[in-house]
Amino acid sequence: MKVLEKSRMRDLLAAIMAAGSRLVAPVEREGSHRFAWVDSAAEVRLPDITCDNTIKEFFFPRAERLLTYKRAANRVDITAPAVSEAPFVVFGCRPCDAAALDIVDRVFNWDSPDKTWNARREAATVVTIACSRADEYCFCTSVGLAPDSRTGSDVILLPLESGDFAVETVTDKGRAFVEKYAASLSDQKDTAAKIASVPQKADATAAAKWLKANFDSGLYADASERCLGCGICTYYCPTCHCFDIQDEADGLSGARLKAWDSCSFALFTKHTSGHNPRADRPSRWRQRIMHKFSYYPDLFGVISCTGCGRCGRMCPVDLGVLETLTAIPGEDT
Amino acid sequence: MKPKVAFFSFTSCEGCQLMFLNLEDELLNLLGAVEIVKFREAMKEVTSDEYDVAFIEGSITTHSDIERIKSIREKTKILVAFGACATIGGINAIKNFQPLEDVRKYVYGERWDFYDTVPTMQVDQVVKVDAAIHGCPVSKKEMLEVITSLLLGKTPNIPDYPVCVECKLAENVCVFDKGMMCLGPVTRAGCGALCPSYGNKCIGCRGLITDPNTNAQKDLLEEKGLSVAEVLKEFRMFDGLSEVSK
Repeated sequence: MKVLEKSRMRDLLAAIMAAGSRLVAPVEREGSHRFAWVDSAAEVRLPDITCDNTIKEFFFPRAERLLTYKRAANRVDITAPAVSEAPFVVFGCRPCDAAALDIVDRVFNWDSPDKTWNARREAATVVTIACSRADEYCFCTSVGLAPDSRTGSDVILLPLESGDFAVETVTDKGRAFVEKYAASLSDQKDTAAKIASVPQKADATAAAKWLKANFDSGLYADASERCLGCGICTYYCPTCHCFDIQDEADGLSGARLKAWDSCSFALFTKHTSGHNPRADRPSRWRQRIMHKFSYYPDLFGVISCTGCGRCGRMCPVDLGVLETLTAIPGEDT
Repeated sequence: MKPKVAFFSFTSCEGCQLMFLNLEDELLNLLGAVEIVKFREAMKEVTSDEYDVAFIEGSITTHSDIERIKSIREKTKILVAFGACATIGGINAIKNFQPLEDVRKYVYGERWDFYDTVPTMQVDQVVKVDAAIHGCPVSKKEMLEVITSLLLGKTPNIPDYPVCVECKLAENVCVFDKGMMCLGPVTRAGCGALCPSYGNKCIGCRGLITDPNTNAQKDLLEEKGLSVAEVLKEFRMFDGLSEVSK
């Protein structure tokens, strides 16, 4: 089998950049890890679970310019930026990060394909590291994934006891990647990978049925009693994809921007009339849960959650979607 | 014709008007779009007693303030509450938690009875306010957003989500995780999480969001080791007039 030796990881990353590809990888900042564009392999620091932020921002930026306009006498000139992306490699994300790309692909190619998302997906090669460790917030096995799921990855690196990684290709893009950088890999005899065990804490598939039948459940009020509405869980969620479109005007010219939005904000659904169909926190929390575990599976056939656990891990009041999932009564109750 | 703009000071430090003067790169362009007729901090003369837009800095703290703000309201087409003292009462509202007689004695000494005072009010408790620019002091960016929106006749885009949002976007480590207290989860964003980005806590100078979960915030502060009195003290620094400080 092909192996990436631990000591040669930086050689591989340097080779990627030397070949003219841009690189996204984990770096360390103030004691926490985050995915970032890196200029040198020396900056890269692998965390033992995943990073605080997700890789979605490299495909779906927090804010991007859709067009700029300029008004002149009797006309408006509109300039839209060209949609093109230079190739890049995402290195060191986890299966829960990569799987999210596959989930979000569906909504961004639903009624109207999102050109910038697709261009960046096309340009990216995703090299995932399977997990050898999980923390108390991880719940991938509760949403039908696993610490070594291949979904969304082009190449998966499986951690070995020695600290090296077995290299497995998942897609054609991944095969081309492994061939291109073969010089940084070596051949070893087959060894079993060391994969984390993540206990199943809930059954998200069974939950969908209950959610539909219990739209008016008190569960949402209980949970959202604590919610501060800060939006962190949505910004840090690998699958949350809601955005707002706003114009920034400066006299006779301006720009139209697409920016992340969050269902935990009171303004999220407020109508121009002043009416807000989700005016209170319980209804906003319900929307978050229903969208992920009921509406999304109905529309696209997949749960919009990868069990990465960030919503609970990053929340100032420790409120993640898992808490609501585990509070759902089982079939027998 | 360019709209006429006037600036008025009530109980405040006039620092927000200074922020307006600090718009050095934009000031000349602004003066091409509006005519400033009254601005004590910047101009010797009052060039006209007529104005279309009044910027009000400061809170209402005396009987004469009440009469003065009412007469400004009658004259102006648009009234803008400018800065925390005007929009939320700000630190001036701290006195509302003490007997006013004590406050007057403390501030004015033996001739305290010469000086009138009323409990601090934010401007919209006395007259109708058409636009608010939050903060202590106001941010340049938001000031320009409100001024250009007024000129274009559109609604300014003022955030109504908590500071946490901008703090996370600034990629700061959570202030609570550093063992400090923070009012960010209930305070209106728009400052770009300035204080947490420089290692401080959020002290709530922009006021509360429309729909703050103040009970959860109080629980959070208590859980982090503050007593109820200390939690109230945090809120009362800037948000003394809000329900949460009572």
